[in-house]
Amino acid sequence: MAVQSKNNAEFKKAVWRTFLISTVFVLVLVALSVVFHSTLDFRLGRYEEALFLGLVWLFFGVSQWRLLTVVKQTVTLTPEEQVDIHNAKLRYIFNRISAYVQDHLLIDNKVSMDLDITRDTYAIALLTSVESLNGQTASLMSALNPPYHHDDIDHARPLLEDQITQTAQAITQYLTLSAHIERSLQDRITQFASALNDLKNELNSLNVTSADALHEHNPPHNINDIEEVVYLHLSIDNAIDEQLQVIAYDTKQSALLLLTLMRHLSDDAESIVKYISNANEKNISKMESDMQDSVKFIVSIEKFIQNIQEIPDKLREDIGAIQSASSVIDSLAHLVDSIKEISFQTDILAVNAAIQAAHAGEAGLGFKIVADEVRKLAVNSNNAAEMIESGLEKARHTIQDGLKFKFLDEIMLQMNGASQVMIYVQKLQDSQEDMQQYYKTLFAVINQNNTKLAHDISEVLGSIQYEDVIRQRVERIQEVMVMRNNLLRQLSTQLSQGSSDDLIMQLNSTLTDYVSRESHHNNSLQAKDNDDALPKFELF
Amino acid sequence: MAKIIFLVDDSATMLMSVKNTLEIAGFKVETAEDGVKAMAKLTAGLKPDLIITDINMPNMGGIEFIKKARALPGFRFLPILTLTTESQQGRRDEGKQAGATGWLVKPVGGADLVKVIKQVLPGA
Repeated sequence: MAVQSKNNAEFKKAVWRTFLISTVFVLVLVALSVVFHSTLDFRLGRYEEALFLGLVWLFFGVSQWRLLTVVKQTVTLTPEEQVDIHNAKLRYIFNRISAYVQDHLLIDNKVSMDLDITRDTYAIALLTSVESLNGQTASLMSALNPPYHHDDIDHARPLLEDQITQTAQAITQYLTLSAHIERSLQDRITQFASALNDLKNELNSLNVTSADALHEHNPPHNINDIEEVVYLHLSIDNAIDEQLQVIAYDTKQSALLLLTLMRHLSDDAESIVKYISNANEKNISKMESDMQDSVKFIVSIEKFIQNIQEIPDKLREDIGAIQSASSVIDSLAHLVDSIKEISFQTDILAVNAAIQAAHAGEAGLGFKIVADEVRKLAVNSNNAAEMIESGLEKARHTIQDGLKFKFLDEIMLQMNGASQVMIYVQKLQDSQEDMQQYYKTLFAVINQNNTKLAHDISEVLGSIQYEDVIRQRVERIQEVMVMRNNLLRQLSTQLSQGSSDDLIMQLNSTLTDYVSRESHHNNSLQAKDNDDALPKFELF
Repeated sequence: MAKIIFLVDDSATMLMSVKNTLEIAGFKVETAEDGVKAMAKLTAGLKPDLIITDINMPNMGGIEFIKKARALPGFRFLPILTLTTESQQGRRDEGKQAGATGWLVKPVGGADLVKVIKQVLPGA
């Protein structure tokens, strides 16, 4: 028997109610009859009693059997009833999805904020640590740049050691931060995965396919649409998951890379300081004594040079003395000549006077005596002049010889000084060469290390660029999350209007866009082994 | 005289990273945060020997910036490199058409960057 009902559920409920009430009623009746029997003590007799009970049970059994057959009957629902059932199912599914979406929206918003904050902290801390590192390295390099003086290096050493400690601190800070970011991303991925699983299980338990089979003749359009929407939603989440995995991987790898590079950097910087420290301890004391010796040598050499400069002065003085002595002697010679001339003229005068005295006879006798005396005077003058002349000659020789001996002494003295100075100069040269050699080696080692440091810093700076790559990837995830969530918000209106084509199209294009955009940024550390990848550097 | 490199990127990390790398290598570096600011610096009289620009930037992206810079007098043959996370062929072609000299995909290590720069800046 087919029953047509406008409200199948209510009908079934009524039948069940009747079935239960009648059952309870009969059971109460049986109980009452048992009680009645015991009090009346079988007044009606056994046959009547048995007949009565048999009739009651028969009536009860038949009525219950009828009710059960009605309950078991296939109920053909009116089309309106089908729509009602379908809508109830849709409402349920929609409620589940919107509950999920609500949860997700909350989580997504929180995660977006978390990612924003983490990203900012990450970027700022990175910038700070690298800037301080760079500053430290710059001052390290400038401290190591020539000209080097051992005082400077001594002064710079504690500074360098301090800088290396600071660098190490910056490295530790960065690594702690990286680990934190990696952990929070991993947490987020786990959250995503478990939320997705929950929704999948939920949807499986709805048994959407069997619902479709039930309505084979009139498959509800919306059920398929919802399946499609849920599928796309899950695909978007999967795509985001994949990218989050990539981010986690890249963060970890770039942190490890940075750690390695930083260690190189620290090692190189430390080796410079160690080298300088060792070089100083070993060589500086020796060099100090060498330098003190050098100063002594230089003082001696200076004295010698002063002496050498004094020689021409002495020479000039001596020559001047000789010249003045000679001119005095010359002027004296002139005097001798005039004395000689006077004595000659006096002699002639005396001879003439003697002749005149002879002519005068006796009267000239007295005059002759005077003439003889004048003649004697002339001879004496001449003798005196000659004596003076020879004396002057002797004096001239004496002066010249004396000067000659004095020069020789001076020269001998200077020669001794010169040989001493040669030794000093040699010693000075030796220590100078030692120092030169020392500084040459020091420069070479420091230059080599500086080149290494510069290279290390460049590589560190290069690896920090992953921050930008990761930031952009996170931004793309945030974008697609916002779009996905907006589309899911539209779900309720779309469902009530009975058409989800537009929504599905939009979800589809959101997914395709996101996946294709991600494929355009194929620069994860994981992609290194990909042979098909386009070159990282290309000149057109 | 140190060569001047003009660096255009909206990421502070990138600017800091590349600027320091280039300065260590002995270049003088000028920076701008997007295409609009970069164009303002160029029209104000900045004459770099090389431009390195990002592609995805707010206000004015790298492709448009390259086109505009190429239109300035004296910038027709200036080497312009892109430094971006984008790596697909289509974008490379766009860059090439806009007038880029080369395409670099982030991240680029210091040694590699300097090597490429020396290829496009002979004598640097």
